[in-house]
Amino acid sequence: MIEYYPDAADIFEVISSKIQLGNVRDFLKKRGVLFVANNRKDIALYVCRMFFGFEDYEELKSYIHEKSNFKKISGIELNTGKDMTDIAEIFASKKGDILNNTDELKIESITCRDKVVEIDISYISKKPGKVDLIRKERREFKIEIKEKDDKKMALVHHKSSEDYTKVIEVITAISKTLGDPNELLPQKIILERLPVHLRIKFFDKLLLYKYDEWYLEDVVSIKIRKGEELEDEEIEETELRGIAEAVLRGDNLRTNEIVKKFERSGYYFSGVTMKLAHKHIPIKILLEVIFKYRPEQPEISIKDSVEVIDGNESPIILPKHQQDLYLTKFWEVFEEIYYGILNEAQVE
Amino acid sequence: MPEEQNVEGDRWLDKAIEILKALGWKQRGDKKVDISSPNSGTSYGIDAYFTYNDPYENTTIGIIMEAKSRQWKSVNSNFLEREIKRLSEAIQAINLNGDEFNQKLNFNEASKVNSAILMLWVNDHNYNREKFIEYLESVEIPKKWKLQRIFIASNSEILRFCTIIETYRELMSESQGTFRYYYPSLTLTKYEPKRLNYLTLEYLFSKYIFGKMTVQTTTGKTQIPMNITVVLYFDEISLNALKLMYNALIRFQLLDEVDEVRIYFNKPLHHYRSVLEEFKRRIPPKNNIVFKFEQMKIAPSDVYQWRRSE
Repeated sequence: MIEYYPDAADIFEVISSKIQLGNVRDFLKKRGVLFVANNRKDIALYVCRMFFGFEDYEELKSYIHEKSNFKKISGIELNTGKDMTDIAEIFASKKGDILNNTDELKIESITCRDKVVEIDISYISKKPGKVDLIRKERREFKIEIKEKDDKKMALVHHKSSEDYTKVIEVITAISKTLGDPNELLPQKIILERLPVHLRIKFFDKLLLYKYDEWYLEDVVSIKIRKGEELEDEEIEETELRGIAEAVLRGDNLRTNEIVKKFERSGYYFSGVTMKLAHKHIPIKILLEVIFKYRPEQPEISIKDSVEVIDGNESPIILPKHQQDLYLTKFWEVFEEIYYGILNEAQVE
Repeated sequence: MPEEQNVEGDRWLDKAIEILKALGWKQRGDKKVDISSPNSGTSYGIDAYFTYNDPYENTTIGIIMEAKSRQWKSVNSNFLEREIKRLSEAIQAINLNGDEFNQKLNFNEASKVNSAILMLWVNDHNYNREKFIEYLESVEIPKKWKLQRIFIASNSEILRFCTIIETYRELMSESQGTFRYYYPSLTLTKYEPKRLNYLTLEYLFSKYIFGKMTVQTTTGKTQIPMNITVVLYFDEISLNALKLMYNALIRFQLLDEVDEVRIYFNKPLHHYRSVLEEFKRRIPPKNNIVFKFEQMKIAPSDVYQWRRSE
């Protein structure tokens, strides 16, 4: 959060070299200011003479081309027979209580809106610091609990894996306060819940999925994992190309020779990065869908994004709310495939 | 009907000129002057042309003004794109056709012409700010080698300009004419802070406008001059935003040698009492500066009800 008013030289620096022209242009357009120019420095000189307000600078910050401005989503299933109203009340009853003394983990507020329970959580993150020995930072994030087909899912647009582990911690802490802790348990969404022979099927379905708004342009990387080892490896370029081409042709992964070779050696896929092009807006994204192993966490994240202008790809940071919207939709696809296969496995 | 549109068009043109003059801009030459492009021969009708001296470039800049009055249903991205394209070409024509420009508008003044302002008034009651911003977002900007700036002022901005003018009048009256808009010294520019009686394009599209004035107060038999820093505040009224503005006052040395800081808001203050009280409580007591919150005199929603008084 910006607290000190930016210096003109800093604004110049940010506009002329830290933010893509496309983002600068869009930022100004919304405010009624149109620059006909191809030179960021010229634009920066004028912009640093304007006096912007709080949200303006927050928005500018969000366009700075750095990892933290690309968003992610993760989720955890809630194993519970309780209904949404009960769940909301259970969490609400613990609002304000410190759930963990070492990092002051607590529930700040709860809102129930359209059958979605939103919970704001905060905690103090302690990391080795550059100046201080330990750098403490108060972190805040939101959990959304949604219900679909009798399944309750806690979703989080996390910034780091630490946020995700805190979600599990909150749910566990809350469940301990119930008469029977088994009434509300976090259930991780991990690949290992699927029988080995169906794990490839997950990625098969994911890669061949027909999205409403996107089409698959390329498979950029695939991560593999072997049986008991929880280390991931990237597959080699030639093999990746082979698989990618097959996918783009619409072939089933399970019939692919390279994939079969991996399976025979005891490997299965644990993550994939896809290049997706939007069907209506001239943007493309690199989307990673991965079952991480440390911590065990399913994660969908936007790794990069570009705008297509005159046939050329130009880096751009998509507005945060837009990224969140896309990620939520991708998560729905993820859930559909994962639970589809899980149900199939249980029937077998 | 075309005749009605012409009447409304002219009426709006005159009002738009009145507003920009009241903001301190100098109109040059006549309204509705044609300048042709030496390359294509196309003629561009310039509704009005204004100049002011830019305090940060220390040069006179010239601004083309295009006034359009339209019903909401005629306003969309295509319309805006056409107007923007026209303005961009008009700026280019002016820069290429020095002779005609000098004869009709510039009169040999050394001025930099790279800016235009579209004053778009939506004349039925259907103006929708969010929708308008959506239109702006999908506008494609023309491509030119030389930098051009095109500003779009629609109803929200235009009424804000009128509100600023009204507040300016009150401040001039109270300060016996000493009120001036304050242009802080900025790193990257080499000039001292300036106090001027007109507003630049940058200020018109900013979230704060700073000003300074001296007000004579009487204590007993003596008249004491009070130095007041004025802020015309257009950002959201939230604690974070107010704190940021306070830090701007510090950065631009607007708390130095000042007895009072007066912040004007263009929203009804009583809705924000809680936030304003909290903000006041958090201001460090420094040099006994008094902080006052005032409300700007909001312009009527019908721009024609606003009049510049001489």
